[in-house]
Amino acid sequence: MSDVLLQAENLSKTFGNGVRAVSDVSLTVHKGETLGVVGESGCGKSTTGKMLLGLLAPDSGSVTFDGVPLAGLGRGRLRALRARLQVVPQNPQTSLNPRLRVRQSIEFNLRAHGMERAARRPRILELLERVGLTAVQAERYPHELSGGQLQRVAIARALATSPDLVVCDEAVSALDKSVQAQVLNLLAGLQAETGVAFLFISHDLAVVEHISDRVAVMYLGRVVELAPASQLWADPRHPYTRALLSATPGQGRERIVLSGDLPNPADPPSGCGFRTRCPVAETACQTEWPPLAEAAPSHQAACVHVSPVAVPG
Amino acid sequence: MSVIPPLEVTDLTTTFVAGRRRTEVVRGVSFTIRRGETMMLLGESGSGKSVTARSIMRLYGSSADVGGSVRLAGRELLELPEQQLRAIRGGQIALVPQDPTGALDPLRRIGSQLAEVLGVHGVEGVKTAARRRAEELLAMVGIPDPKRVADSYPHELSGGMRQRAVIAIAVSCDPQVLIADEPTTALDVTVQAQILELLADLQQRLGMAVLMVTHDVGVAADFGGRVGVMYAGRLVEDGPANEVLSTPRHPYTAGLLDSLPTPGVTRGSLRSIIGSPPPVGAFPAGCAFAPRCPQARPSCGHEDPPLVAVAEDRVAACPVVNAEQVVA
Repeated sequence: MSDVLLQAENLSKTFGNGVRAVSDVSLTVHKGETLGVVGESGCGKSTTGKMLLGLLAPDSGSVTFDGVPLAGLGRGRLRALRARLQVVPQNPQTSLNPRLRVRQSIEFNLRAHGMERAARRPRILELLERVGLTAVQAERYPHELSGGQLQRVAIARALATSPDLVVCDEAVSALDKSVQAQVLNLLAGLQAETGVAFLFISHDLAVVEHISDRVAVMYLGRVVELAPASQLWADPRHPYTRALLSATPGQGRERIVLSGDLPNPADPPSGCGFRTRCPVAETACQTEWPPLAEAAPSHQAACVHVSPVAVPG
Repeated sequence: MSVIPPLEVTDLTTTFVAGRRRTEVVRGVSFTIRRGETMMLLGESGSGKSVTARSIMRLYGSSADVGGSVRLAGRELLELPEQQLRAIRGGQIALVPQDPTGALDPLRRIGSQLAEVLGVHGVEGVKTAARRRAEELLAMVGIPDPKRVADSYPHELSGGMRQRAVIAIAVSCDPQVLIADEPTTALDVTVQAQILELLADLQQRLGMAVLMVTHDVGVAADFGGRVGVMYAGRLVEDGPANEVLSTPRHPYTAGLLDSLPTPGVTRGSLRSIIGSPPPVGAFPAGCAFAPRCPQARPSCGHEDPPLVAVAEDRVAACPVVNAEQVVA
């Protein structure tokens, strides 16, 4: 397909302390789409995000952005590419420089990517207006703004260079629900306007499901299920996804309570990493982590119990 | 025959005092929890839900003026001297805080921390008996190998296990009232599900009155009982959780529910509330929600509406919805 924007193949990363954060993760982001990545703490979703951004080098595997492999790019070329590949981090209180006015924070990004001084100011105001802020707020310092406003600033800064892809790493998780809804609407509106693609990383399945076209569910460093959002919701195939959906409060699903905790990523169980908590595990699960297999058209799951079945409707 | 409820809170106000500056955080909150009942305090940051819970136990000491009345099984807590309070806290009324890591002493084994509480409250003074009881309690909160956990330091346990240990400490002296302040917020959802199940089970078995603080509408809906929705230091709506969260009457409750992504419905726009919750210390005059309210009238800017009955067993603080139901 020609509309592939970002392609990650077989990414793996083990940290110095022996924690196997990411194993064999392959993801594709198409132009203009939102790919959600959901999982609990320690599942490797943020590490994956960092490797996709070129902020962290994978031990093995490759990331290709618009046909260009990130590995081996010199600093200058990586920098130029970053104009098209931006990030909205979780906590705007720490990601914005407290000593810079909002205008200066955004200007920093524009300047770094070579925009002329004269062009910067109108661009900043245009960006702020687009995220629902005013010229007055451009002159404010971060501590003078609310959490929701700060996250709008972070979004404006990420959009400053008209990127093709923005990685949102828990970008709405720190916000109150009434404000979170505003920011989710804003992101969806910006995508409709500009055609930017999002990689939306979050632990909140309800939010990911709402904003994403497709969702990847991660567990213990691996993608265990990948499906269009509506399909994942209606017909989850991996037992972990089922438990995760049922554990998300307020859904009215029969709750599947998993026993035990997440295994230690430095000492994962043999075979399928989920088998220690899986309600349908069998002996075969001890030997090998099953690869992602087609469970339905454009729906993959990594479980021996998943047999290819046509989806009704 | 009238039964004295385990917890009766009347017109609670909490004002933080720092030098000359006084900041009103809780502004007249009243509710009653009966034996075996749950009351959820639901609200966003700065709504005063945690401060309400902590004021009940008078955990702020001299840094806050706490007014109104808090009756624990008929006994007024706000007038008790600190010495007597200490005997009650952890005994008749216990707290499960949000962050189990901060609640445990990092340098002492779990078993010894449990035994200490038992000793302080005179439940079990003998060391070996206390140790045995500690292991029983750890087993009761679903810890699979209580002996090992009793011998562990907090850092050797996962977040979920630590929260179980904290719950074991909280219920160790058979409290009448258990206050759980965002007990699962620091945990992953699959572990959260375990802890909520445990709390519901313990409540059934021990017949405690539970006050749970949460920002998560889903948690409030699942746990059931009553829900009190807080905004800017006040209760704005109160009633059975299943009714309040399915047919909200206060515009804030309705707006909060509309802000949540609907399960199974992807994309589309969320109906959000404009603006953000007012920060503590800058609550608007009149109805604090009026500046964000789609149904506000001119009078809402200066008249602070009281809670009035809107249906059987339900109250809401809004003059607009008392006349007509909110279109959700």
